[in-house]
Formats: sequence, structure tokens, C-alpha cells
Amino acid sequence: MLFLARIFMYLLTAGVLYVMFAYSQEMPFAARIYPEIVSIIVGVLLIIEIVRAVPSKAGAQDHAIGADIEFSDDEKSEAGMRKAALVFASIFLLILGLYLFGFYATIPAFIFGYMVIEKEKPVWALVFAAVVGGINWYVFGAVKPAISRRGFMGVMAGGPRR
Amino acid sequence: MLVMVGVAMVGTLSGKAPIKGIIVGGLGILVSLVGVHISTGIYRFTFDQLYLVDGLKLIPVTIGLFAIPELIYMAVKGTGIADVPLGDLTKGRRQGIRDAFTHWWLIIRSSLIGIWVGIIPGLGSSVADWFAYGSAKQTCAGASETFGKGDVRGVIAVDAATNAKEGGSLIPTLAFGIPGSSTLALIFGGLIIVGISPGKNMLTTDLHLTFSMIWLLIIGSIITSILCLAFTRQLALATTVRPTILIPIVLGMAVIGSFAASSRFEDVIIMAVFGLIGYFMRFAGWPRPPFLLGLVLGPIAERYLWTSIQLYGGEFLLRPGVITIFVLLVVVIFYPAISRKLSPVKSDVVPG
Repeated sequence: MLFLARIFMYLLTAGVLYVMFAYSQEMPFAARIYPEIVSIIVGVLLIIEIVRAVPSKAGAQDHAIGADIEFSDDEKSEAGMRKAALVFASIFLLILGLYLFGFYATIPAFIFGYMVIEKEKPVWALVFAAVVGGINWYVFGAVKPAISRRGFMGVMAGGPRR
Repeated sequence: MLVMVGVAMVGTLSGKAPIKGIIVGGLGILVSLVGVHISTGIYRFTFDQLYLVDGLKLIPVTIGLFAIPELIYMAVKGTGIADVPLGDLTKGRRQGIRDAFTHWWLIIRSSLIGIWVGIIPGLGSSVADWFAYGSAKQTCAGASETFGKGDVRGVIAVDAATNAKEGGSLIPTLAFGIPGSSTLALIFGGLIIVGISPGKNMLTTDLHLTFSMIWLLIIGSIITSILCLAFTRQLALATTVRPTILIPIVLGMAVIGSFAASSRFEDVIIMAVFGLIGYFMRFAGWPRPPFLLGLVLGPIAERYLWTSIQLYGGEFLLRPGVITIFVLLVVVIFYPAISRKLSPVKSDVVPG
């Protein structure tokens, strides 16, 4: 799998470089010079990196990635990858739900569903879903119009007699 | 040139894989070029998509690249952020204060990095902490083994830089009238509304206002520290929340945050795409922070390059200030390699 991840990154980088370089050819000099130079430098470095990594030894040893957090052994395991696939699947479902049903309905439903599937108590799932749903309403300004809508005042407070 | 020093920090942030770091930084720069080109006004790499005219937004890209892979890590690990018991927090509080005084030199170094990042307009909070963390990881003894596994020096470096950058960003805002960050741009607007023009006046006739702002920053930091010390237990409890609760909530908030950046649904998709890329980057051992640096610094470097060329032509490279910063650039590039060469000599000394 590590091999496939590396191939994915090389192909992604090469693809971005190709697109940037090819499209910049149609631009005036002032607009194309900067992306061209960066593409060429990155392209040369990518070739050096691939040449170093193909025999695998050099590529495998320089796995210390500086300020970033390294990939753990748990994540490399089959169970770890299955879990990662499940999280990505849930993100996909979340986005699909957002597209189809909108933010107000999908986000609380997603939180509730995820927590119930992961065997959390439904009551707590409902509480957390309601809190985040409320924040969502607040962020997008739906709370104010909702609470400022005038309800039935009651007869004693001047409401209409029926 | 100052921006190029920032770009050179990519090497520092990439540990033993500087080539990968520079490749990722270059990718960040290329992605940052999507949108309208300032000098010519033409659309670059927009592929006839209206969404791409404004370029890719920093917030969804950052959330995708960093938050989503961490959520996956948490899901796989199956425990909260802190996978050990909280223990005696009173002792921890005292130890924390002691640590800050023990590592005073690291605090000064990281604060200087924070001030420098704050001075450069447009860099801001997104990169100050990475700069400081990368620098500390390269220069502190034994950091490559202990950083990311509970070494307090990583926390000290990041916090010192994050706090110091606020003071640093006041310098261009007040002295030159150039807002150092988005927050200070709001303060800048507020000052103009009440009839105060940031710039030369803030260092002459309105000097008292400048000192008021400095003191407010100091008092604000002290109040925050006292509150954090008082509520340590409550804040620490947040790290013990189970991932089955944390993951859906953080995902929901991440989606809201990404969308709120520009109220475009495409931002949510960008977040998910960069989440996938971030996961593969971690898997393949490609550092992610350089991408962020490239994304932030790319357009600034291009803009200043053209400004310098328009003002001085190619001769701007021979100006004394530029030569001085070039020397600094060389130091930034070669310092990690030199310090790595020298460090085994120190460790070979057997005590006793």
C-alpha cells in the first residue's frame, strides 16, 4: 500500500505540473514566467526524488517528515486502512447529504447517525446533534429570524380572542 | 527576498526529506496561482470555473489537509486526543511554569520567529507556528525522536511564536499603515473610522495610542494565562472525549467552517479533496506544512517580485538590503544541514 500511496503522489504531482506548464504556454510573458519557473524546478526535483525512491532504499529511509506527524503503524495495518476508508465514506455521505438536503438537516442527522452506529447512547447522540445543529443555525443566521418570529401572545398579553 | 526566506523554511520543515518538502512547497505555490493575475488581469488556471476566479481559499484547503487526516488517525487509534490518564494537574501546572523558565532561550528564539512572521504582511497565524515548530525540531537536542510524542519544547516553541506574532504584526500596521493580519486590518479600519490614520503619526503625535495597544496586548495575554491556569482541568478534559463523539462533531464543524469562508458549496468539496490528498501525503511520507507555506507565500512572492522589477529593474538584486537578506536566506537553507553535521560530535561525548 505504501508503494501505491507513493505512486499516487508522484502521479498527482506530475499531473499538476503538466497542467500548469501546458496551460501557462497560452499566457502573456508576465503571467506565465513565474508558474513556468516553479514547474520546471519542481519537475526536476520530482525526477530526482523518483530516481532516489525507485531502488526503494533511499526513498524508504527518508521517511522522517520534519514538522509533520508521521504515519503510525496502526494506520498502516489493514484494519487501520479499513477504518480510514469508512471515515472517507462517511465524509462522502455527509457531502452528498449536504448537497441534497442542505446544512440544517444533514449536519445534525449525520452526527446522530454516526454516534448511534458507533454505539454511543442515542440520548447523547441527540444532545450533541442538537447542539451542533444549533451552532449551525446560529452561524448561518437562521436563529435570529426564528426567535424573532412572533408567536401567539396569549389572550392575557394582548393576543387575539378566538 | 524576505518572502523567499520564508519559502526557504520549507527545507527546515521537511526533516530528512528536503527534496520532498521543496516539491510539496512548489505544489503549494502552483496551486496558489489559480485565479486572477494581478499584473495582467488575466485568469490563470481557472478552467472556465467561476469558483476558481478568486483562487482556492486557505481555510478549506487547511482544514482538509490537516484536520481530516488527524480525524482518521483518531478513528484508527480508537482513543481520545490524550490516550493516557490526566493525572495530577496541580503538579502539571507547576511543571509547566518550570518548563517555560527552563527553556527560556527557546522562548526567545521562537518569539523572534513569531515577530518576524508578524512583520511580513499577509503571512500571519497560519505559518508562524509551523516556522517555530520546524525551527525547534531542527535545533533542539534529540528533537527528531521526541517531538510529536509529548516533548514540551514543541508546545513552547509554537505558543511563543503564536503570541509574539501579534506584537510583530502591530509594527507594519501602526508604523507603515500596512495591516499585518486580517484581525489588524479590522482594527486598521476602526482607527480610520474614528479619525486616526495609522502610519507616521502613530510614532509621533499619537504615540500614546501605540503604547495603549501594546499594553492591551500585554494585559490581554496575562488575563488569558490566568484564565487558562484556573480552568486547566476543564480544558484538559476535552482531550479525553471519545473519538466516536469527537469525529462527527469536528467533521460537522469543519464543514461549517469551510462553507462559512466564502459561502460556496465548492469549498466543502475542496475540503474533502484536500483531506484525501493530505491522507495520501501522510501515508507516502510527504510533509504537509510546506504546502501551506507555498500556498500563503506564493502570491506574495510573485507580487513583490513584480513590484521590485517595476521599481528597480533587474538591479534590485544588487541593493544592500536585498544582499543582507540573501545572506540570511543562505543561513536558513544551510543551518539545519550544518547543525546536523555538528550534532553527532556532541552526542559522542560519553559522560563519566
